[in-house]
Amino acid sequence: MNFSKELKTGVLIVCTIALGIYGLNYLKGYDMFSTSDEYYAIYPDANGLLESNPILINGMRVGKIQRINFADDNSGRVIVKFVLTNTEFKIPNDSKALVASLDLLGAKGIRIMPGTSATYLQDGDTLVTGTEDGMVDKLSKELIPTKQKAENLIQSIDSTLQQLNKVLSGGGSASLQQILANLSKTTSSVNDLLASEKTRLDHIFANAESITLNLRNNQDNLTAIMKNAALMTDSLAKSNLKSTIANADKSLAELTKTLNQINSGKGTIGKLLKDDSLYNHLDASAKDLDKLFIDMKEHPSRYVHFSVFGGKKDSK
Amino acid sequence: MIELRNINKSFGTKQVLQNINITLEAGKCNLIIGGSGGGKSVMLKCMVGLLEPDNGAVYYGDTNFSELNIKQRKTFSREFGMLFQGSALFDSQTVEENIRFPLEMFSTMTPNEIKDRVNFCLDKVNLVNANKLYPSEISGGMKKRVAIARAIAVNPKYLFCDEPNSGLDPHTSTVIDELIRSVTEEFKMTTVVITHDMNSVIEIGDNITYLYQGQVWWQGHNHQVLDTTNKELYDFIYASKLLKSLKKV
Amino acid sequence: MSTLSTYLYNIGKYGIFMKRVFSKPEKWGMYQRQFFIEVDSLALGSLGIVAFISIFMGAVITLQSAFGFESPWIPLYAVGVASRDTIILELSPTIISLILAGKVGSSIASEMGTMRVSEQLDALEIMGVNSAAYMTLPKILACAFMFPFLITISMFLAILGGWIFGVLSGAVSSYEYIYGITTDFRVFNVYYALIKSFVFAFLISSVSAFYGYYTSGGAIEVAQSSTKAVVYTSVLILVFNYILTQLLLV
Repeated sequence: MNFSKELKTGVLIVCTIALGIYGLNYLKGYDMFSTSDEYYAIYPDANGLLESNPILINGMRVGKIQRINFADDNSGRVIVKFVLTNTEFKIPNDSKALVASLDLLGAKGIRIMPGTSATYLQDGDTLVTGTEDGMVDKLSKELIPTKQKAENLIQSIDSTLQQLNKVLSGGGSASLQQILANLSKTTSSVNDLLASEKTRLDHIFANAESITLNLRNNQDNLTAIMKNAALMTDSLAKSNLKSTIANADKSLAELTKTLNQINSGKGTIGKLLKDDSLYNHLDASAKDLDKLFIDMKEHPSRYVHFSVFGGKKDSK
Repeated sequence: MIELRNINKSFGTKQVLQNINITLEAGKCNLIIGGSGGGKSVMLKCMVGLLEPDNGAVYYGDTNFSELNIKQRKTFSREFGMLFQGSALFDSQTVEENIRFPLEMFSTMTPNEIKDRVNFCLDKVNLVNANKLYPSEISGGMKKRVAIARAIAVNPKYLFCDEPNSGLDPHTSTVIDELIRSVTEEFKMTTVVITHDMNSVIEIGDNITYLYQGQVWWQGHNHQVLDTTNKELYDFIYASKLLKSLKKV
Repeated sequence: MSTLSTYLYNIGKYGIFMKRVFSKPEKWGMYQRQFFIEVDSLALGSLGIVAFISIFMGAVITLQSAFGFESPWIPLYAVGVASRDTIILELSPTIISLILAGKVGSSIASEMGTMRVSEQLDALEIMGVNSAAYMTLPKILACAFMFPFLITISMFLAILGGWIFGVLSGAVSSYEYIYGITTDFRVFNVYYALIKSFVFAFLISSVSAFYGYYTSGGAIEVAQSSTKAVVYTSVLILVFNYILTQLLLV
């Protein structure tokens, strides 16, 4: 089909107007072809909010402010109309719409703090409002007490300085001078002392120096010593110290067992220690032996025959 | 009837037309001849209002054309038909649209009447089956004929032709001359033809004006022109060897 | 004649020409038909080049902005803001108008010039048609009426082109770009652009027609008229761009 010029022109004009209206609205923040919900929030103070400022839920941009008007009742309150293009998240009806500062430059937006209610806001509802402290607000709030403290501090410093001034300018001046004079004297005595004892001090320093020199000269030896020590500890570590200790441990355990047995009077040694019958026997034997020796002393002839002259030759 | 009274025209210091006083008769072919640069085209342009004469007046019947304002002239010039040297057809329009154009612009005809008129004019100039062609697609002779058809479409009282034979072969040239003569007689037009083609002069020269150096040098009829005693006209006519030899015969 | 008086002479001649152009048409129907012919050839015929240039200029503007804003202090959505404002304020109305001055202006001037040297304009005059009005008024109206539409399409396509190529090349994310172009948007900028394009359209069509109409001679003179038309139209566009910006924005 051959289109006439008029028809082509008409199509172009209608299409362009449609495109223009859509584009203009899109740039203004209304997207005609996407679903969006409108909500309202009423503030006593717009706080610098502007049209097309963003709406945030948990840090996600979900929409923008469409219009800001004064309320009809001439109360000066501000009605903010905003559209949410991202409607995936349903907003509980106890959520709060807070005016928030988004950056240091003072860009504003509305931050919706989601509530916990199970019922949700509908398209066209009005949200509960509030104001969130922005960084600047926070800063100023924290700065005020600090400032007061600083003021107090400066005051006390001031009074202290005044006192000091009084001291310095009044009678204190003389005593201060005396203190300084004394200090001067003390330092000069110290000076004298140092001068008089100079040779000794020199000696001490020289000795200290020679010691350190020796140490330095013997550095090689010292190194060798250290090396040996290291070697020794190494071989110690390498030797079967562990098993040795384990064996010793075992032996000790055995010994303990043995000693226990001994203590309980078992075995020969145990009987020796615990049973005194042997001792008694020995004691009786010793007594008997004693008696024998006494008897031998009193009556040697009973047991030994002496012959000074002539006895048997083979006894030598 | 067209009357030129004391027409003077100069470009800068060069005077192109000097004191032109001529009368052009109604229902006849009035020829203006002369050498190149003799002021023929300038005179024609002064007559139709494309140029303003320095002084003097052009009368169409009782109307002083030179005194009309632009608007009145526009209305008056609907009586004009003009055949330009280069045909001056509208390149963007077909043959048919070219002829329809003046009718659509000014007449109160219905589309059917216009269609009939276009076909009548094309028939007059012996052009058939050329309605849908563009000017670039037809020959020079056809262009001239289309231009004549366009000029006569509005049934003008005055027909002006600026060198209608230039660039055409002798046969086609004769055809065009015949056409001009026939439409002049048929529609009772006052026709003004500028030419230096001697065939045309003899063929259609009812009333001949010879311009020489911006002045009217000679006036007369086609049967007088060949026997002229005027030296400049004689030189003009017998410039070619062919005519000279014919003259001797 | 000195240069200044030549300019003044031409301005005066242009004024008289405009008076002739805006005189009452002989027949509205014929002008209307001519109007649609001009709309077709001047406006619809320029749609392709306007679309092509717009898309690529939008893309380049976006990439250049993204390149220039590589700083941690400037949020990336500023690319969208900068591209949108550049496109709406300057690129679409002025640059596209300069392109059209070349395309449409030379076409008008050479068409009129050829009609002049081939006596078609004289033919119109002899018929009793106001040739200046008949040939020029439909062109001026067609341009003045259609250029704002072309510029609207250009803005749309340039912003779209910026989005497509910005996202494809990874210079800016789709979300940031869209956030940028919808941030701090002033509708007046679009009106300002459309007012500019209307004025530029008038300049392009009328000045080119003026130079074409007063051609005399042959092919070389037609070419000279066409060149003059483009040069003077471009200069005038830039001058009026400044004047309009000063009047409307400052």
